[in-house]
Amino acid sequence: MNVTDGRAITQPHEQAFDVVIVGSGPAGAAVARQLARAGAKVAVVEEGPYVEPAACPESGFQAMAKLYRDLGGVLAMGNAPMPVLQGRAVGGSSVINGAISWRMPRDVHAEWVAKDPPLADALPWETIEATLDDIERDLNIAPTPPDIAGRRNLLMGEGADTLGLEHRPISRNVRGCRGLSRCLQGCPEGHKLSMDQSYLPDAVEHGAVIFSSTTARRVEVEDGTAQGIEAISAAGAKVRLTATRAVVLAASAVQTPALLIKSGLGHGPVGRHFQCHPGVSMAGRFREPAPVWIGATQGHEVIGLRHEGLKFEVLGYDVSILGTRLKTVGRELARDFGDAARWVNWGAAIRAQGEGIVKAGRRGASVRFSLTPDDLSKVRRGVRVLGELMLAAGAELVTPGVYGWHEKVTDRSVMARFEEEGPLDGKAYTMAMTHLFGTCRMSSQPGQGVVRPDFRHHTVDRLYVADSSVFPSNLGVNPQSTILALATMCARRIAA
Amino acid sequence: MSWTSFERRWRDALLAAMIPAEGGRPGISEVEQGAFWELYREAAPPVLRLGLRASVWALTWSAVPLAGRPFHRLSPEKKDRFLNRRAASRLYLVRQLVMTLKLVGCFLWLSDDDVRARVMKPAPNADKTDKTDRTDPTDRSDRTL
Ligand SMILES: Cc1cc2nc3c(=O)[nH]c(=O)nc-3n(C[C@H](O)[C@H](O)[C@H](O)COP(=O)(O)OP(=O)(O)OC[C@H]3O[C@@H](n4cnc5c(N)ncnc54)[C@H](O)[C@@H]3O)c2cc1C
Ligand code: SF4
Repeated sequence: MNVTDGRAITQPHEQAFDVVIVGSGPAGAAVARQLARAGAKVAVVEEGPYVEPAACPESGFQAMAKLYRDLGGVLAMGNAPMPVLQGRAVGGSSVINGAISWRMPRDVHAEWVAKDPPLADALPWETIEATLDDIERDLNIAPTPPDIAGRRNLLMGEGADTLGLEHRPISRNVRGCRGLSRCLQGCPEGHKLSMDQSYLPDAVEHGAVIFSSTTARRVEVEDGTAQGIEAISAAGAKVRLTATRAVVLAASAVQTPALLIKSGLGHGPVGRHFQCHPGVSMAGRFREPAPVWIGATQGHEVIGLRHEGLKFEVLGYDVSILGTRLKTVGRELARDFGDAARWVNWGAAIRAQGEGIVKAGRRGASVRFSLTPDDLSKVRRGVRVLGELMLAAGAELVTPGVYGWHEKVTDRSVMARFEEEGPLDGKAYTMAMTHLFGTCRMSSQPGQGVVRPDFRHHTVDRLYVADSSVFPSNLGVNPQSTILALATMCARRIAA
Repeated sequence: MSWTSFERRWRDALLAAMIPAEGGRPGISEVEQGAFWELYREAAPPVLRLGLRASVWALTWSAVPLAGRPFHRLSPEKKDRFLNRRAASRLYLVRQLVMTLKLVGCFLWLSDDDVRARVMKPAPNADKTDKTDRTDPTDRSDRTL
């Protein structure tokens, strides 16, 4: 794919477009593709580099250094401090995500409409459904076939059957996947249809220009109208891109509010109402090998408790990350690595009710987020179910990794007691977040939201927000497909 | 800010104890570290750098009241026991210091190709149901949108 590499932009650069988009993740890519196909002259500005599949490293550390924001080291502070993982590359987090593709749940749409009825007309369910159908076709979204799933994915199904929990193979946006289990390091063979392998090349074919390694620093506004953006190339040159039709922010639910604040547009609820799906994981040792590095990265899920705000997924990643999930140190850790092929990791994603805040500082965006007591109860239930699932699937032991409770559990009845005995202190758990929402909420009421139901900023003309910052709430399911669908609808509004 | 030679010694002693040689696999102290620390310097965000440095100082010197000597002067057995006790500390911050060290240790150790090959060795009686093909790249010519 042809990109303009900011590392080579050494002189000040100015260029005019119809539409300038900040961020090339699912939101930015969907807008770029839709508008480029409609004939608009589109620019996409992306802070991260363009990395070809073959250049995606296998080592977790090298991959995180190359493709993740701050090496995955951005911490959300609060009652359960946890890393906020985000991609930083052409294709955004889709380059390093698990390729799990969920349709937007109808009940979540209904919740949004119940809270803000004008959303029913602005985001009609039938249009969302039809857009999701297109996305599923474009991105070859289909359930993971058993022959590439790998043992650790199939085991989850066996555990869920024993517990009587609904489960299924995960639907993923891949083509020709060989189960290399490297989605989180970037698929080295381009089988994952991340944005750099799908929507962005299509946008470029239709004339879009992608500026990689170029950071937007400010939205330029004159007389209440967005004029374009001011950016800086990785080589240090000033880049000014003007937009005659729209400036679209799609830099993620953390970076978009930060950019608005830095642009002097931080009034109203910008950065507030941050929501997420905190994830908690558990390692279990099986009698048989089921290596984390073989099989579809994330190929199976338990969905029977989604109504409670809990969803369980098989995890797959580099063995270095597995090491951090083993609960031992020193000699015991070194010994555990001798058995690495028998250690399996599964995770629970929590639909948390807690709300946080994103702020912009000199060193970038910062996040504060705390779990509510109800969220902590869900975390605790999630840990219990994870342990029971693993033991039911044949694990010889599980390591809950919760401070103050058993280090190793071999018996399901012990694990079942966790829901009463487990601590309700967030700091006792190890969690991480990868799904982020809500910091530039969409609302029909100017005081309640940052953008209108048609994605337009409430007070600045020609300024749009297209990423999951506009979501009125979190989803309880993996958000990529919903982000793609809503961003596509945003683009249609701009084109209209 | 780069490491002083003292700090490097303390850091290396802690990391070596985090993943020692075991079962024919080399320990952290036996792997080549130059390329790792170069990339770390380029890529690690301030919070991680600060965290690792805090971890090195705190764990090295808290060993004096708790184990009688600074960490790097302890015997291998005492080092192991000390790390295990700190990892299970009542104090969240202390547990996090150990976790930061462990994160960096895992990244460092598993950046080494020989270590990776030994840890990810084909499992004996490997997975019968797994038909993942690791040798024959799939034809991608059908990948159009
Ligand atoms: C490890 C991981 C696994 C995940 N797994 C899944 C999964 O399996 N399924 C799923 O549905 N979701 C998954 N997600 C979440 C999903 O990937 C994200 O929700 C989605 O990518 C968000 O899309 P986005 O376009 O809003 O933001 P992003 O994808 O984060 O893209 C934003 C882009 O904007 C760029 N940017 C930010 N600020 C600027 C600036 N000032 N100037 C220029 N560019 C800027 C960033 O570098 C980034 O590339 C995962 C996320 C992570 C981190
Ligand atoms: S599981 Fe492996 S082959 Fe499949 S998409 Fe992910 S990295 Fe690529």
